[in-house]
Amino acid sequence: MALLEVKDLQTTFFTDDGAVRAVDGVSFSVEAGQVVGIVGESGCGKSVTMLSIMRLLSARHSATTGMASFDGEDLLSIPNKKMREIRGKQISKIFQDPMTSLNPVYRIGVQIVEALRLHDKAISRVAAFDRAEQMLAAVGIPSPRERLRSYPHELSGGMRQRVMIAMALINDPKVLIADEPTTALDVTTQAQILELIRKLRNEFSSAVVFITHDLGVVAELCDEVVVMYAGKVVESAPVDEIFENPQHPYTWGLLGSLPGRNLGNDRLYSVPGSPPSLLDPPTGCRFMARCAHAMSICETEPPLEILDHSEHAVACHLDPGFRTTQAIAFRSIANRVQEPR
Amino acid sequence: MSGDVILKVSNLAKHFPVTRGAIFRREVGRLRAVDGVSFEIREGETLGLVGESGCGKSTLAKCVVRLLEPTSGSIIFQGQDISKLKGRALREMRRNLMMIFQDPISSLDPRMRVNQIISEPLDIYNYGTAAVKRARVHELLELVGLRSEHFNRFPHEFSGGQRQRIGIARALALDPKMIVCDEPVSALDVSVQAQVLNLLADLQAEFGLTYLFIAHDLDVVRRVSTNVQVMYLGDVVERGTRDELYDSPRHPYSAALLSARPEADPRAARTKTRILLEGDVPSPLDPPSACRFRTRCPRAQELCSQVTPELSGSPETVALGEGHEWACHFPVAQWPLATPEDIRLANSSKLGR
Repeated sequence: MALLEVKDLQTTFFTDDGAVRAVDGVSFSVEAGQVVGIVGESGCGKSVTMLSIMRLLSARHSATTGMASFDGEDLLSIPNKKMREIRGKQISKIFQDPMTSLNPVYRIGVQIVEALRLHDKAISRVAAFDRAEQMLAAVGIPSPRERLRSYPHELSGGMRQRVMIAMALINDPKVLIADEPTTALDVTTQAQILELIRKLRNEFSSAVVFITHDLGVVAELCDEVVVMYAGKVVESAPVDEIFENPQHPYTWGLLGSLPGRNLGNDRLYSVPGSPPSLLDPPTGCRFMARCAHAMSICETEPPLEILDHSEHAVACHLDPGFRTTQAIAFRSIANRVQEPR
Repeated sequence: MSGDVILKVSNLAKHFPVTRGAIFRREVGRLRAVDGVSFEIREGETLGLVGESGCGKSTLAKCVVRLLEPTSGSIIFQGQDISKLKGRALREMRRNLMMIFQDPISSLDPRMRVNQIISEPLDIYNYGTAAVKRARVHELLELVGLRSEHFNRFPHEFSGGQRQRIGIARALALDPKMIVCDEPVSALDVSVQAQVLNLLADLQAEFGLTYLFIAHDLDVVRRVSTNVQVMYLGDVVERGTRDELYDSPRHPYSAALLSARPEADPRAARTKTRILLEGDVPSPLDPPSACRFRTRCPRAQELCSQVTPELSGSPETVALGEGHEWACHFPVAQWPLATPEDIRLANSSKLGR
């Protein structure tokens, strides 16, 4: 059974302009030792999905329905007290921006130890600081003992992100949720952090949910990929399938707009237009307005996610045969481009 | 496609003094943001500038458009040294040298309407009557792919990609010869990024623009550039044509950057050899002696801490008249690497080029 299984998750925000369904029927599952990538443009609901699962959204301004089962328990229906025991202990999260997620007025040692002592009341202060030091060393921070006494502003962006990772990992979580942890970093630092996450997956067989908009990072790290668009999952498949046999027109657009993958083309393919407003989403397929292959059925019927034999699910009305020929054409372009190198 | 040299930068340096004390201000240190950089760009070309944050690429860009005054060195733009220009002469020069900024949110005044933003340069340079300026703004909106109905809107009503288009329209307003693009697409989603990159390429083809294109994304730079220059801690470590640099990087830093770039192909990513650099970029307040990269370089030797490597090519490339140059005593000989260990020197007693 999957470690974390999300079924038909719906999250609605109550705004002055009306209800916004930011996540609309998202399902996916994560096994132990697996890295699942959630990909999509800004505003597609990828971060909100994970915030809903961790119950970090305000109940006054939003409502979540559906199911998120973790180790046999539904995270969405357990009492708050129980949730607090799981959050930060069994499921923890690395936030996107290490600058604003760390408290600027506390030394980082205190902040790391807080995460530890919150869940383990028995541990002594000294032992907790020793553990924090080990963790900083494990994420590759030089002279960790001294660094425990540093304030966040004394560290570089990459170092701060490592501190965030150390904090998320100090309780040996079963599920680690990483929300764009490398977006603010340079390529060399990004490579270091990705290597670190890869190592954690292998050594501790933690499950990782990696939220990103960078398909390059997905290709490097993930085993499974979930592509989201306007609050819905449009395609999900193992990573090789997504890159070699993409089935949804939106995925074609995302892959076609990567500058590193389409060197031989004069122009980059770009998805025209912008995502629909979720205040008043289209009744049919949400991608229709930007899709080059839209048909009349797309306007009225929302496409259902169809799972084929190879664990490859796609939500699109297009004829599977046509989609496959498109995917093959797409692959041959990508191959032709890579040959001369 | 390439023409005459439009911009020639020689020995450009920008140091920021670090001072102590309010009344008796004294200099206690110097932040060497850009330290002796020389390069030239030909008309119609794009020079890509890559490097990690803090390597001085944005400072260099600001010096080139004279938003900062360089500490020393010269900047010859269209045959005129602009590094010391002031007042009216500086303003006249700027008409031909515009800039597109990184952050499309903070680079547009939230209280100005789109037409005011785009026509501001027209107002400053007395472009013509109100009607002429209006017509020009409409023309520019269409050119960058916005619609006439956007004329009276405020920046917050636009998406990130559209805001960047407004910034581009503003830079184009006076028909400049050259545009300095400082990370123009790094704040955008990939699909929007592709739209903006296509737009910049179209505009270059249509108006024969010259770009100095700064980015930290190596794939983006590869897409747009004719020539590429790699910076580290205020200094250029390698430069060459795009293909030279991407197909056979010689400086270990360029090699590390290229190998760290995520590969958008899962099979290639699994087999790829990565060079992981350790640690962070040292402080530009107190850069390492001689070669600045030596503290993180897997190939560093004694020599690297004593003799500063000069930017130059190998005898073969010089003989061929090629422009591929690197500043390293022990350049990388083969690319791609078979194993990460190959970046280390096989025979550490080897000296010189």
